[in-house]
Amino acid sequence: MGYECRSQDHRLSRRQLLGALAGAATGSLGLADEVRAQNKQVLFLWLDGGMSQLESWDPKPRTEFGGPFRAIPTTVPGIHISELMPHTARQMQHLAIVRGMCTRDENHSTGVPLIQRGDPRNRGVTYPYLGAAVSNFIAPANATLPPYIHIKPYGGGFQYGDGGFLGPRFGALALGDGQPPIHILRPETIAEDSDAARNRLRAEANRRFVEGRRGEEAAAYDYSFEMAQQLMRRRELFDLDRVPAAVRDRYGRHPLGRHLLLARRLLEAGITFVKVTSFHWDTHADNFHYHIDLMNQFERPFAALIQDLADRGMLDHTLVIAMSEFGRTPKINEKLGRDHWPAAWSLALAGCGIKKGVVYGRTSDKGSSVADGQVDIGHLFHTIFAALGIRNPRYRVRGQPLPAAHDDMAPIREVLL
Amino acid sequence: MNDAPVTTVDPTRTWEAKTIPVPRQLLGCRISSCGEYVVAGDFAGAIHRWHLASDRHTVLAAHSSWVKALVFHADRRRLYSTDYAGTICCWNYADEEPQPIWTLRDAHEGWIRDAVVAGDLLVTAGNDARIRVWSANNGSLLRELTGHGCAIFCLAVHPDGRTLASGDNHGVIKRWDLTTGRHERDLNAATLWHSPEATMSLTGVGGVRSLAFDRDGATLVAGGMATTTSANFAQGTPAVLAYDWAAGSARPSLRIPDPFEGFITSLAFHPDGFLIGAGGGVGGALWFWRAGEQDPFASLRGLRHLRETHLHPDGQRLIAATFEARGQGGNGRRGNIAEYVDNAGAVKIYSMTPRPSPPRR
Repeated sequence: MGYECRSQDHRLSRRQLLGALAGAATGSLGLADEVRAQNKQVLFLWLDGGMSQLESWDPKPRTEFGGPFRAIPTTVPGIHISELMPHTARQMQHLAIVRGMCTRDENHSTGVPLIQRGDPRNRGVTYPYLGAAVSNFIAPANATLPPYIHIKPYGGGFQYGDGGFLGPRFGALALGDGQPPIHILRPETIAEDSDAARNRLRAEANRRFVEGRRGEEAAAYDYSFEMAQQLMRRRELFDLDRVPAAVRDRYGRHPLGRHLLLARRLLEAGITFVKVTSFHWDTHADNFHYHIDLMNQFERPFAALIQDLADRGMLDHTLVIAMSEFGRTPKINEKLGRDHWPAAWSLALAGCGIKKGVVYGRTSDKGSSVADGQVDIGHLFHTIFAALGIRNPRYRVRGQPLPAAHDDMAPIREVLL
Repeated sequence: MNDAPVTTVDPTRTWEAKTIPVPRQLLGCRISSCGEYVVAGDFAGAIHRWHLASDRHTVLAAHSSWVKALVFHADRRRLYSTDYAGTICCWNYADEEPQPIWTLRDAHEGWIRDAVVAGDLLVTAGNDARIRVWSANNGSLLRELTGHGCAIFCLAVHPDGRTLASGDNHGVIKRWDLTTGRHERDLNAATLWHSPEATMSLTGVGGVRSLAFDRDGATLVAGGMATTTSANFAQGTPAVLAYDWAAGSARPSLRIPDPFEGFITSLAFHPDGFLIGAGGGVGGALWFWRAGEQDPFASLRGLRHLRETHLHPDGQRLIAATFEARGQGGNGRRGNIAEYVDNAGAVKIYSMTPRPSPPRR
């Protein structure tokens, strides 16, 4: 298991690492190989700060806390979502909405990692983020591209911490503003043989650096460089100018539109887990004014992505998850904002292993609590693993078996095929 | 309230003369041209009407979304109301139980943010970036003014009755000839707009939140937020910009020396010539500036968040729609969820005349 890696691991190839270590991590190598062979993929859309459930998946027009927006019908009779999501409403036949999320943490700083790690309570170890966990379980051993890519605003780099106890190698290769790691490219002013010499020098420096240091983290430096190099062999993926203008317009030219279009292309190229983060959903003031703009930036490209994945037959093997760390308060504050509300919120799923056109869970008339079908993040992690065909997912850390999600929770069967 | 016939207006002695609680939050308020009725629009789509002398309360029900803009016709009969579903209603406001005389649905795509009356014209604007000019008599559409590139927050009619100023989210003020619909000029209020790039947000924050002309129409003032530290919290300092209307040039901005976080939500010139600015953010405040001076000569702070204020035609009172906190607020859930209740609103009447002495015993 990666948590206990010794130095010989560092000389293993990435393919060997993913195959052997991850297989051992599941404790069931045969099952892991079977799942890996199915080339399942995940698109994880993270709306950081907390999207309002009342202005998206769970509208309550003309109620005490409902806000000024109306609900609109979708392609699935009886299911209504906010009028701010007209394009998504036309894709409802592909979606499953979970309206009964009830989690504990009301803070961003602790809530984000807690939710993305699946909130495994009182385990005494740092669990991997969802992208690392899924990559660990299902990334094909013969993949030629990084298994876990994170498209995000601002800067990029390698996010070692995402690996948790799986080790830094399972971190995310982050692409700042969706840009490729261009520093990997050989500048035209440097000849090929000079570049090769540079790389040999770098490798030697890395080797010396690794010596005498704790194995995993030091080895991850080389690994992340290798991953970036692999990705740059496919740098045409990043050239959105190759995409017809009409398609780019469907996604929108704003950052989230561009990032979701890039995510589709990376999924098409075979990346196992693509995470797309959009920041600034924390609408403590002018929630309604802001959500007009925010939802437009989210729901148009989201609907375009769902439609494109469906048209390409990719939803059969690609799981799509759109969520935040919590929802927003039903109560409207003095600045016309909504604050943090983990007690009753919503998310959406689509694709691989997920029922189409369903809603699970119901919030109270006020939207302040879950009235029926209450689930926690542990239920969601079980659901994600089950949708991907990962049965009884477990880790082994220092010889100790650990559940990959709360062992007192179970998948949400009502949204699973 | 105390309606003692005091005539001396002294903003330095402004005081809260009356509070009328409302169970739902309010967005806007107005006092009728006759000075007898106050109206306020709430989150439930209700228009609350109070007869000031008798305190009689009536609800005008026709809207299905938040009611923001309310405007009285100078004929002392008609009231126009608009909502966030794009609906306009016209009422005879003094009727015993008013019903809409006419209603326009989908008058705008989405929210109507502001409305003004210029003679027999009703002018509305909102999130669809369009200004529409209607017959104030029958609601027929007369013309549409296009040119703003984003949501329009506020309108003001020049004292000449035929020129309009409109302010938008991105800090653009446009000057229009209402009789022809011609766009005449832009005024730059870009300092009131804080872009997504500047604020590291998806939406940006700010815009022209309020406009007012002085009595002779020589000066236009625009309210908003001058600086911001957080778009998500709309944190920043209030600002009032001033313009020479004829020249279309900027005049020195007015100063707000007090620490305050929020927008200038309303502006109004008093008949005596001084300017009244209302602040809404974390709490509320009122500031008063004399003509030609940049620093306020009076202020009233520590108020509730002022969503909107409107000057009574007697010049002695200011009507405000305020926010009133109820129950648990802020992040997360604490306590009994059954006690989780909505915040509320109130209409407050501030008097700018000296507070009467208490009766002697």
